[in-house]
This record gives sequence, C-alpha cells and structure tokens, in this order.
Amino acid sequence: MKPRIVITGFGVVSPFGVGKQVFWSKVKAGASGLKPISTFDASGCGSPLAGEVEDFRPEQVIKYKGLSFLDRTSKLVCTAAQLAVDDAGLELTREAKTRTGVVLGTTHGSLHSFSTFDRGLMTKGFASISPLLFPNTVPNVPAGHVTLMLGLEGFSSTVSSGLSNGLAAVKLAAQMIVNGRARAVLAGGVDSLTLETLVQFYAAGLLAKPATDGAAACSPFDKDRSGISLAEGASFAVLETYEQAAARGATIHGEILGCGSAFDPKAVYRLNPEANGGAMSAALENSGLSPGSIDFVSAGANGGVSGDKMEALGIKAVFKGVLPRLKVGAMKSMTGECQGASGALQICAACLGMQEGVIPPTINLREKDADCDFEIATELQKANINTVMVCGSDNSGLGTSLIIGKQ
Amino acid sequence: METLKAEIRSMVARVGDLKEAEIGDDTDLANDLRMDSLQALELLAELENHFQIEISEEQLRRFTSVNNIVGLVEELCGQNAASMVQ
Amino acid sequence: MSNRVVITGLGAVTPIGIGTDEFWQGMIAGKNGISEITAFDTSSYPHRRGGQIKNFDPAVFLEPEQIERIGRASQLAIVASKMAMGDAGITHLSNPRRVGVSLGTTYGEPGILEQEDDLWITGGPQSIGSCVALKNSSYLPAINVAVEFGVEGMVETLLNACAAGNCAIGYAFDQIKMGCLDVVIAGGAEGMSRVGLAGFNRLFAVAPEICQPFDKNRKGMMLSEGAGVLVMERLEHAVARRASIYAEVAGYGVSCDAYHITGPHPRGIGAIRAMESALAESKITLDQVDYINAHGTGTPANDKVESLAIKEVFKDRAQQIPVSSIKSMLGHSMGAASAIEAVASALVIKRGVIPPTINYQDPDPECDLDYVPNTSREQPVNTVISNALAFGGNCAVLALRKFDNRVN
Repeated sequence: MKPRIVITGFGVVSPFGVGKQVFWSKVKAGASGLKPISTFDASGCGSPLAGEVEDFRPEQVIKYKGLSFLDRTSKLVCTAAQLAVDDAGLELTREAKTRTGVVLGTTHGSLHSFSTFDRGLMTKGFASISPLLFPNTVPNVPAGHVTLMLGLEGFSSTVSSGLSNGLAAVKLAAQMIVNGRARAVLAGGVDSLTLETLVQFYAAGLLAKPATDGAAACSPFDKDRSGISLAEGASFAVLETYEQAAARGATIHGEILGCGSAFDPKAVYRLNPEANGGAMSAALENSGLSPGSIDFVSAGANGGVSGDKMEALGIKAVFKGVLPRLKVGAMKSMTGECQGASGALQICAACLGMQEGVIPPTINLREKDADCDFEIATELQKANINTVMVCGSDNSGLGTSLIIGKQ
Repeated sequence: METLKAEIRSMVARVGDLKEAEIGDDTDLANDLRMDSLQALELLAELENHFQIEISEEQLRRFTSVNNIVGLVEELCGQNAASMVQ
Repeated sequence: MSNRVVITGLGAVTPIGIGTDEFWQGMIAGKNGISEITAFDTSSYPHRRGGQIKNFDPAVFLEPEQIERIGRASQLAIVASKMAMGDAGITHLSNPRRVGVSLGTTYGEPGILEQEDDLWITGGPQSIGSCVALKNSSYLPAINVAVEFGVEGMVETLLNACAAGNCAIGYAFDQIKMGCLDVVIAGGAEGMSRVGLAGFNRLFAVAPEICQPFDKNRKGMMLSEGAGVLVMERLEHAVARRASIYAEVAGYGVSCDAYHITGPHPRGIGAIRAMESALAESKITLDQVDYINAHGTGTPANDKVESLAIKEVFKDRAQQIPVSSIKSMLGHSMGAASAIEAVASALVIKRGVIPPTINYQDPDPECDLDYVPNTSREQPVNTVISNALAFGGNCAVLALRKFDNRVN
C-alpha cells in the first residue's frame, strides 16, 4: 500500500473486560469469555451463554457530558476510543484533529435503542418519547459521539457488512488514509449484547444449542459445533501513515499489507454452503503476496454450522498447495461472536502474537471437522509469525480479509 | 412553589448532567451552564409528562432559568386547573 | 495509480417520479412530492406529511418470491439499480469480481424492524420468527442488489444517515480510482420509518405543510423515502465498451463539525472543509463551479449554516452560483437523499437545466444567495458541487464535472 499504513495502538472492551492487557492475557491463556447473561432475561432464547462485558463502568475511563443518555453501544465505543487514543499516544492537537477520523463497523448497534423507542411510541404514545434518546436510534451516532468526545474533525463513517464489518471498517479506514482524506483513523467496531440482538440470532436459528459449559457453546471448526455464541464489545485499531508514526516515535504494532472484500451472490438465499475464499484471494491480490507468504490465518469461524464450513473450504481453496505449513486459529472460540467488535480484536491478537512470537490457542476443539484440512493449534504455541491474514465472513456471503505484517 | 422549584431544578440537573448546586434560580441555562437545544427539548418532554401540560416550541424560548421555567409551568398548570373547573 | 471515474448509468425511485425520466420531468417542473403519510398511523404525530412514494408497485419490477423475501428499502434499491444498469447498457458481468456495490442508508429496513416490534408488543420477543429476523439487517439492500446482478466484488453499506449516499459514492470513487474495482453500483436507499417521523417531530424539526429551504419562514424538514443509484465506472472500462457518459466524479471531500450530535456547527466548519477538499481534489476552481446542489433540508439551522459555509468557501463568487435544494420537492430521504441528488446533479450536467427550490416565498436576510426560486433555469452546467450534512456534523461533498477527454 502506498503510503504505508501502520497500526499504532488498540482500544479494547471485550468479554474479558476493559483493556487490551486483560484481553490479550486471557486469549493467550485460552480462557473462555462466555458466561450466563446477567443484564437481561434470556430464558426465552434458551438462556445461552454469551460474552457479556461484565460490570461495565464507562465513567471510569471517559469524561463525556451527557454520558447517562448514551446507550450501551455508544458507551462501549467511546470507552474503546479513549483507550485507543491513550494506547497509541496520539497527541490530538488542533491541527491533528482535523486530520483524524473514525470508522466503525456494527451489525445491530442501534437495534436496542430503535426498538425501545419504537415500542415506547406504540404502547405509550408520542408524548412519552424522549428527544435525547432519538439520536441513539440512528446507527452512525455512536461514531458521532466519538468525534464529539475527542474533538475529531476528520470524518466519521459507520459500515455494515455482516459479521466481518469490523474488518470492513479497518479496510475503509486504510483507504481513506491512502487517498489522503485523513492521516490517522480509529478503525474498528462495536455491538452490544441486548435481548433484541439475541432474539435476532435465536429466531434465525443461528445460536448454539443450549449448554452449560463453554465447550459445547462455542466450538469453531469442531465436527459437532451447533452454532454461534453471541458476545459484545468495542474495539479500535489506530491506523496511521508510517511516516507520521515514525516521525512521532510511536510504537508500531503491525502494518496493513493488503485488504480485500468479496461477496458470494449464491450464498444468502441457498442452503448449500460453498467455499467462501473470495475476500482472502482479494486481499492477497491487493497486497501482491502469494498464499505461501501467509504464516497464520486468524479465521472468523464462530461455531456457525455453515459459516465455519464455508470458511474452511475457502481456506483450503485459497491456500491449496501450502496448507501443510499454514496455521489457523479461531479467536472467537474464546470471545464468542463479538460481531462489530471482532475485527479489531482479531487484529489486536494478531499483532500482539507476532510481537511475542506466539499463536493463541483455539479452544473447545474436540474433533476437527473433516473440512478442516489444516493445522489448528489448541494450545498456546511459540511460533515465528511474520504475516497474518485476518478473516471474517458469514452466511450472507459477505467477507473481508486483511493481511497484517510484523514490524 | 419551593417544591415545584426543587422538582424542576432536579430535572434540569438530570437532563443537563449537572450538579444541583451549580443551578441557581436565575442561572442562565444556555450561556452559563452550556445546555443545548437537544437538552432543552428533553427537559420539555419531561415537564410535559410530569406535569401533564403541553409546551409549544415558542414557549421553549422561556427555558432560560429555573425561575422562568417555574413561571411557565405554573401558568400552564394554572390553565389546566382552570379548564378543569367548568 | 489513479483512474478517472465516470457515471454511465442512472436510476431513481422518488416521490416525484419513478425512473430517471419521470424524476427529471417532475424536478424541472417543480413538482411537489409531499403528501399526507399513509404508510403507518400518524394520528398522534404533530406533523404528518412527507415524501411517501405512493405509486410504487414492486410487482411491476420484481418477482413475487423476491418481494416476499425482502423489505421496502431493498425493493427500492434493486429497482433503482436495475434502471441504472439498464441505462448503462450492462446486461452481463464478464468479470464479477471487479464489480462492487456501495449503498448508503440510515436504518436499512425500518419497516421490518417495526413489524418485529409489533410482534414483540403483542406476543413478546419469542414471537419474532425467522421470517422477519432474516429480513431486517441494514446490509440487506446492498446484498439484494448484488444478488440481482451476480456481483462478487466489494458489497458495502454505509450507515451515515443524511450523508450516507455521498459517502457510499465516495467509497466507490476511491475503490475505482485505486484500481480495486472497474464498476460499482453506488447510491442510497431508505424506506419510510415511523421511528424517524416520530423522532424528528419530537425534535420540532418537521414542517407542517411544505418544505421551504432557505425561505424566511421555513419550518423544518419533510421525511421521505426513495432510492438513487449511479453506475460508476473506470474511464477506460467505459470507453472500451463505448458507454455513454453522464459526467465525471472528480472529487470527494469529508469532514466533521465535532460540535453537536444533531445540530450543525454555527459557522459550518465541517461543511466548509468538506467543500474545500472536494474542490481541491477535483482541481475545480471557484470560478468553474456552475451549480451547487444544496443539502437544504428546510430547517432553520441547516439552511442558515449551509449558506454561510458556501459564502465562506466561494467568497465573492458565491452570489453568482445558483444553489438549489431539491428536498423542497422530494423531502429528505435520509440515506437515499444525497444519492438521489447525485443522480439529479449528473442529469443537470447532461441536460443543462437547473432544478428549482420550490415553495420559496420570502427571502431570508441570513440566506442571501441565488436559490433558483420556484422555476427551473436553462443554462449550461459543467461542474456541480453536491452537499450532504448529517447528524453528528458529518459532512460529505461530491464534485461532479462534465466529462472531457482532454482534462487531466
């Protein structure tokens, strides 16, 4: 990519808690972030285990007037944004703010607010509506709050492209910088765990069968996987030009070598999963790298019955010939499906893994599905990893892949 | 009157994310306390629901201090009370 | 690598016309597309008029099984896209991996979400079945367009509300410029939403009868629905297949106010910077701008600030540039608005007629530009600046230019 785009920091709010360190240490340890849901009654959806951000207190991280009127999505994303800026050591001068932007991916970010507002409107009438809650119904308002809280005047965008939307956001962010529209971008995503979101996945038949232990609830690539375990979070990767990062002596965690998106028009309205490797190929083409240069694939696999199969088939097709040396991992085995937040979390784990020379484990893998003709580490592994492909895709046929290089 | 003033001060504090001690009877909500138009609308909605009155957009302009809001609410409640006595 | 990007096809479904020709005829005739909203019960709302598209019958354009499985915004998006692709003369994708979709929206399919809420109210959350759950995602309009044509490249949805159309077009512009894609079906789609109408009413932002952008007595916006789609194409690709070209997308500017979550910065700093960026990228000088397609929602705040921003950017030239708001006729279709306005702008360049700002009765001393009041105006137009200013002070501006082979 020209100019070179590097990652200088991360802001993380995950099912493991608030902060990058707690996330990374739990991921290395192969911990599960899934637990019974405590913030609402999920019995109507089979009381599934989910990756809730427990005991979330945004006021401990951010100072923002009117915080109490923000919905959970906005609170999660503002917290992660502040953490990202701090982690990257971004000095937001007057001038820098005019060249700094935000891009968020979200699946159902404003659904809870929209439906609460709408149900209130229908049951209690127009006069009962709170004007301050109306903005929460609009999906690009959380990104707007980030720009307000931090005074960012570059641009703000919110994208929606299935479960890979966090990666799609990072791709858009990189391209905004390449095209000279910003010098730094907070790129990532958010989704909050609410009954409205849970019901969507439940009604669509996508959730894992009820289980009391994380193992059955979230087992990507496992032969007996039964579906997705939902989670929430907010995450950002701070993207900058290499020149800017180097000039200010920033820590560089990784470099974005290529991005690609693709769509399979046959996937969404049919039942028969086919290989979903289009985004992977597109990312390789964009980076100019060969499949053999990729050391590790951070898969988007989340335990979805057809989604995982489509991804496995995609990996096999794209990396044909180099599969024996390829390592694959599924971070969501530990975090659950964090939806919009997943992308930047995967990037964070990839960068920190490359820096420390480790591959985190994929947990809950009792027996690999026959389609998974590649190595999946089930324990933390020391490995010299220089290039990671980070993937996300789902049943809709949408997919985005990014290639990150070690610094 | 004092109870009404206290109720309104408490609403202003909640909507504006402020401490009640910052809100004097005549403190200018927009200029001194930096409350904005969206918060003013939220206050309007709360007052309407709490006191069962209707406040027009023109009357919104009188939301300049606690005392002025108290005055407006008393007028509108008085009108309500009057219309109930037929 | 920097490819030139041109517009080779247009499609629109709007309250003043279904299809580009009908839309164009309505627009230059100053047709008022506002009426009483009947898509849902509005009896409890203070103001109930808007730009509902009442004569759109999906069955005229789509198969029954298609209509069954998709929501309103998807229907509008597919139909506008079919019009645009037909107009571009693209009947088959020889290289589907090099074709993308980039659509803007606010809520996606609010009608479906509202159906789910009705089910929830009467029967609890467990009454929401997969039949609606699978139809409501905000990326579905873009997916449904991609399925229609067999697109295999990027399929992206920008949820940037009132600026979403311009942002989707801007993203497509960058993708083609950089050589990632050859063709992008780009635009925006939005369906009527009771949440939207209630919310804007609660903010006292909705006008009672008519939309009067820039008028001294303007009372607010009108919520509406619709879809606008452009076929955007890499120049060499278009030339190779002898496509007809409407205009060139020459520049795209973005900025934020970082001032307030719903209201604009009083000095329009985001709008100023976005216009300046679009001009700088397109290398269009102030003298060369022939028309500004305004965001012009009809709210007291937007129109005042936008006029100020235009004067700040264009200085002495501002008074000579016609500025009009077609929202005066269509209302504000949110995610579709700036896409429909981009369609309009391309037509203005091609056909040399500037649409009016209708319902303009009393000049506002604070809005003192030439708003093309009430009657359209014939004059050659080579360059257009099209503004979109959204919630959160999010500003996106497109610069379109008459295609000229000689320009570098």
